[in-house]
Amino acid sequence: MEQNMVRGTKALLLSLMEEGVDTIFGYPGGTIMPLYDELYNYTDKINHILVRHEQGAVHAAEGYARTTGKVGVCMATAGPGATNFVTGIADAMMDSTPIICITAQVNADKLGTNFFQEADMISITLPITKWSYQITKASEIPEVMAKAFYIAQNGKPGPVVISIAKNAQVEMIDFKYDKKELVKDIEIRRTLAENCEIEQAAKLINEAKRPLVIAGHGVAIANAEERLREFCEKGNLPVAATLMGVSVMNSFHPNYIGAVGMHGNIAPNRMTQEADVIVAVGMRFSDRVTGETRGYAPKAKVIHIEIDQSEINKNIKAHLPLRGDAAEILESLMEKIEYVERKEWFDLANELILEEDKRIFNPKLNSTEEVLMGQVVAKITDLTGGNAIIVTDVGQNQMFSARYSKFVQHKSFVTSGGLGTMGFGLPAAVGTKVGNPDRQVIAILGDGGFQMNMQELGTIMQSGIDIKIVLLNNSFLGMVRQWQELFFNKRYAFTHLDNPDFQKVAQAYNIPSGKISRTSDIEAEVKKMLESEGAYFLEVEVKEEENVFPMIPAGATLDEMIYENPNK
Amino acid sequence: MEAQRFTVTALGKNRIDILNRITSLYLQKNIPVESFVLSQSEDGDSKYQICANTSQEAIERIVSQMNNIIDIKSVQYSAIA
Repeated sequence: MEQNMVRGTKALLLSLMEEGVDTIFGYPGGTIMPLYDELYNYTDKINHILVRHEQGAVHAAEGYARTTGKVGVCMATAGPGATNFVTGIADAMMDSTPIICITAQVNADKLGTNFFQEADMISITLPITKWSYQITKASEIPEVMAKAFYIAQNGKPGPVVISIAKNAQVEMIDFKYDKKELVKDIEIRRTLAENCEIEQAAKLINEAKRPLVIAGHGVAIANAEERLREFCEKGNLPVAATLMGVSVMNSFHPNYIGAVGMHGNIAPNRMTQEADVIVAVGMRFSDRVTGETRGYAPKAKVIHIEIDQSEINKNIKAHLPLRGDAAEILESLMEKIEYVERKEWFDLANELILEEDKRIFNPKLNSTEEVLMGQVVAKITDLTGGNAIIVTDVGQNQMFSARYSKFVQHKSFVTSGGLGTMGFGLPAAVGTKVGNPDRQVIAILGDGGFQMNMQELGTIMQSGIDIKIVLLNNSFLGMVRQWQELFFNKRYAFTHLDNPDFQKVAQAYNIPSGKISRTSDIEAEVKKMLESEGAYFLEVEVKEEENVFPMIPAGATLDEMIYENPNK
Repeated sequence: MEAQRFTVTALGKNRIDILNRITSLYLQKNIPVESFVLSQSEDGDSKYQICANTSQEAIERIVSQMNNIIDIKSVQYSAIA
């Protein structure tokens, strides 16, 4: 596309549209006024969602990107507007989410003068971006935008910050956008495992008596969910997911045995310790998954299917690294995989799944004294048939959501895994719904995290975002309180929250609301929420001192799982 | 972990942020840098040479992360006496 003599701001928006962008989450300000003025010409082509805090914009862009596979775009003014993006950028970096953060900057000749609302966003975000660029002339715009999108999406995705100086916004250029031409000098190396490596891996798997596939976020990023299913069916392999990989597999699939990790299910964690071969796909052996690495998977040879070479052999030794895209590698590997019975191994899985049902799930689900968090999550999954997209905040609400939800569709679980950002849930749900208007989107939050970005109720009200918000209210910073109970002698230092009347808060934003106070309320209230039209706020008064079990405490190995408070 | 002196040599473009992204990898791991030389090589590439005292494990991690920096073409390291 070519146009003569266009303003920098128009060149920027034309570049975005060339890249297929039709949604921007943003918040205006002085230094970004020219760009917003230009945006006003494109309201029919670009849907701009006005947030209430820039952090809301960046988390919304994340929710959007994670569930649509497209690049999320957010926009903010210079100085504090830009710095308010920082937490979200760090979150996107940790969880490999492709977003472009466009931040305004003072005039190029005023850089470094402590001009009004000047902040060195490039320097500030260096360690948490895949790439960043300070645009000082309008002529740089097309090339920088093309590169930004290419980098954000290719290889392991990640956030890119584009800082645009005010003068560059108003200068005139002849606009020409030829994507191939503009990115020709960058190369994101696309390694592919050698044929002999694939054969070696297939042999290892075929000869394994106790193989375990652990699938992470990378499977979703590579859109390899179907490949994974075919692969595990062909070879008759059990599959576990990491927290970020929950929903890459249909929860009811006979080969799916649950989630690994600190608050994962019993079967995957115990079987990791017994496995003779582990096929790790699109996961990075986070400390949340491995526990103490010295005691991790002691009997297993590890096949690590991973696109980022710096993740291989970082935490866990890979006996056979297979570098590349998950979908492509699973496809090649699948050709050489054979079906092996492995009855005893699957019997063990079923035995451990039943043990967890008996020991943890059934007692919790059937308890009627006080409302337990898992009961509400289970009811939601039940009444939505596992079809909703669940977006969580961080902490106990996150763990209970992962443990009690079932999923039948892909890309249905959005959570802040690597950075564990409280306040992520509500704005991420906004972005998720905007990207997936035809799916039910339900945010499950704790009272701590909800209040961190509560102002986004304004975004929901103004933009008519149809999300269901479930607030698991225990008046505590739950997960921290759990650790204080288990490891700090119940010294609840600053974890109790005096909360406002959340019903009145919802009402103030014209959002219909409901409340669950007893287990007998659960069915009716969840049903009412799901049948409502438009945004709905369901507050749940849960047991204040509930704990998430099982748990692998920090510093412990997967063999040292605890099922109740050890001090009892 | 035994500490040794390692030199890391990276070849790539000369863009202002690359310099900072390289030194950030040392800053992040709290590894003090002894010397840092940026020079132009004959074929137009820039050569970044960093010398620091650290463990083999740390330097391998730095090298693998440096390979991910956009517009860095190649990274090598060697131990020096």
